[in-house]
Amino acid sequence: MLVFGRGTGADVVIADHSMSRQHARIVGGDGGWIVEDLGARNGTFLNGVRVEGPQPIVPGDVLKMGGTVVRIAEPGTAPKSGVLGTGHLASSIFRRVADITGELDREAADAPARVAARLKALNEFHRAMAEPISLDALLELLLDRLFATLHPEEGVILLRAPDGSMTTAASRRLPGAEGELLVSRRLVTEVVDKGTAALVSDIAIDERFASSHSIIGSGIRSILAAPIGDAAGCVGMVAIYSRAHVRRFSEEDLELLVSLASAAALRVRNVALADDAAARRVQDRELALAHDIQMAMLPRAFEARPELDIAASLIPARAVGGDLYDFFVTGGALWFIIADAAGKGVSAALFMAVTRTLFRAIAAAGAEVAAVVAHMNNELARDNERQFFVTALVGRLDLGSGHVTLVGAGHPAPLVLAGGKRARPIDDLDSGIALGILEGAAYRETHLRLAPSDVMLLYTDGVTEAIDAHGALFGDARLQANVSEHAALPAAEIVSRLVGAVNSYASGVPQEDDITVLAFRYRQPSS
Amino acid sequence: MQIQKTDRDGITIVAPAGRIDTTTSAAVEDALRQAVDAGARTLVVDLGQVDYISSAGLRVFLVLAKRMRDLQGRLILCGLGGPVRQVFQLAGFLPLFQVEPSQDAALSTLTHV
Repeated sequence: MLVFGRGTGADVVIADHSMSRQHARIVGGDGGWIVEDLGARNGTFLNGVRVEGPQPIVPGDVLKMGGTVVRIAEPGTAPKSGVLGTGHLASSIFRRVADITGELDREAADAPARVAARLKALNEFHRAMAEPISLDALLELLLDRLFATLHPEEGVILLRAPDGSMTTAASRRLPGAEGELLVSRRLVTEVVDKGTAALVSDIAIDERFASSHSIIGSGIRSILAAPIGDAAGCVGMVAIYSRAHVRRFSEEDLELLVSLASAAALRVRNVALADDAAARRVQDRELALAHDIQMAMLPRAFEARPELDIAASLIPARAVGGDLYDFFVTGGALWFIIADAAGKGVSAALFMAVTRTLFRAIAAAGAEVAAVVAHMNNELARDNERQFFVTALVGRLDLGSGHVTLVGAGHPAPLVLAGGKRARPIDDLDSGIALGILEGAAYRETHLRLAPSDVMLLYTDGVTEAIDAHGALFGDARLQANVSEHAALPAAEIVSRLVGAVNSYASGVPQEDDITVLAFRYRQPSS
Repeated sequence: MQIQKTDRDGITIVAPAGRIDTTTSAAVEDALRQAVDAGARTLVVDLGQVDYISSAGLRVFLVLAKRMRDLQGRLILCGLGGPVRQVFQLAGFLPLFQVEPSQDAALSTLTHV
C-alpha cells in the first residue's frame, strides 16, 4: 500500500499545496492494483474521471491529485518494488486545531455548494448559541447540525466530569445502527489530552487502532473527532463515526467539526458553570430550609413559670448541625436533654432529629430517666450499620422538690451553681456509653437536689473545644469562671454571656463544632 | 495526615499521626478499610502519635471494630495518650475495644496466645 499526500505521514510526500495531506492511496493485491481517494479536498482523478470508490489501475493510467500527475508505468520501468511494498502507513490525520481553523478562510474562497452548506451549518449554530440555551440543548444542537451536514451514523459528545474523567454527555445514532456506541480510549487520548483533531479515514489500516479489536469489529470504518476546548483548556470532545457503506470523512468534514466544536467550547464551559451555580443555589436553599426546620424543632419561647427560669442557645458550625437541646414540662417535672451527634452536616442533623423525636416520644410516656435513655439507645442502635452515635445528657427536675435525676451517655457533665458559689461540674456523674452503639446497654441515674435559685448549666464540647487563633482550647477553667461570674443573672444572660465569650475567644477562627448551651434556674418549689 | 502501615508476622499495624477530626477521619477510615480489604484480620492501631480525636474520629474506630467482629478478626488499640484516651473514656467506648498501653504490649498479647 502506498499513500500519496503533502503531509509528512504519507508514504510519498509531495510538496503540492493543492494536494491534501493524505490524498489518495494505491493498494496492491493478487488481482492487480487499485486506487482509492482518501477524502481529498480537490479529489483524485483517474484518466480524467473523478475517483469515487476503489478503481483498478493498469500501466499507462494517469492519476491526477491536485496539481500533481502520476503516470502508472510498465513493470520494470517502475521504481523499485521495495517502495511499493513498504509497511509504513498512516491513513489518519492528527492535526493541531489551530492549523485547521486558520485554513477555513481559504476554503471559503473555493465556495463550492458543500462549503456553502457547511458555512450555513456553522452560522446556524452560532446564531442558536446567541440565545439562552441549556447544556443539554446545546449538545443536542451540535449533534443535530453534524448529522444534518456530515451524515454520520453515530455521534457522541464527551464532557469532563468534576472528577476529571470523560463521560458521555450526549449521543445519537441513525435508526437501525446496531451494536454498542464505542469511544476508543486511544481516540480520547489523542483528542482530549493532546488537543488534536482526528480524521481516521480507514480504521482497518490505521496502526493506531491495530490493537483495538472492539472498534475494528464494530464495522466502523471512519472517524472524525475534535476537542471541545479553548485557550483555557479542553472540556470535552465530539466524535462522529461512519461505516464504509455510508461514507468516508474528508478533511473538509474535519474542518467543519473543529469549527463547530471550537464554537461550542466557550458556551459549554459557561453553561456548565451556570448549571453548577444553579445547582449550588438549589442546594443552599435546601440547606437553609433544613436549618430552619432544625431550629424550629428547638423550643425557643418558653412560657414563664414561677418555679423555673430556663434558656438555651445553639449555634451550628454549618447550615445544619448535629447538636440538640430540648425541654418540656409534664406531670410537675421539667424534662431536658442536650446532645451532640457525631460528625457534622446532614447525616449528623438527621441523627439529631431522630434523637429529639425519640426523646419527646419516650420521655413523655413518663418512665424513669434511666429507662428512657436505655429505650432511646436501643432504638438508635438498631440497624445502625454506619455506627452513628450521639452523646447525650438527659434529666428530669422535679419542680416540687428540686430533685434532679441525671443520666449521662458519653456526654460532658453539667455544671451546678449552688448557693452563689463557684460553678462546679458534677464529677460523680455516672456516665454510660454514647447512644446508638451498644444495643441493650444499661444506664444509671445520678441524683442531686437543687435549692431555690440554684442553676444547672449543660453544654456541648463545642464550648470547651473552641480554639483561639493560637489553637488553644477555651477549656473547662474558662467555662467555669465565665459561668460563675454571671451566676446571679437570669438564665438567658448566663447563656448569652457564655456564648459571647466563646465567640470572642474564637474570633477569626472558623467555627469547628456546634456550640450549644442550656441553663435553668430552679427558682422556687411549685405551690 | 500521615498514616504509617507496617506488617509484622501477619499482624498489620496502622499508626496515624496528628489530629483525627472531621477533615482527616476519612483518610484514616480509608487506610483502615484498605488494610482489611487486603486481608488483614489481626490489626493493631497505634494512636501514640495522635494528639486529638473528634467524634467523627471515634466513629471510624467503631465502624472498624464492628467490621472486625463480623469478620471474626482481631483489633487492638494501643498508645492512647491522655486527651485521646479521655475522649474514648467520656463517650463510654473504652470497654468496646481491647486496649494495650503500647505497640509492644499489643504484639506480645497477640503472639503469646
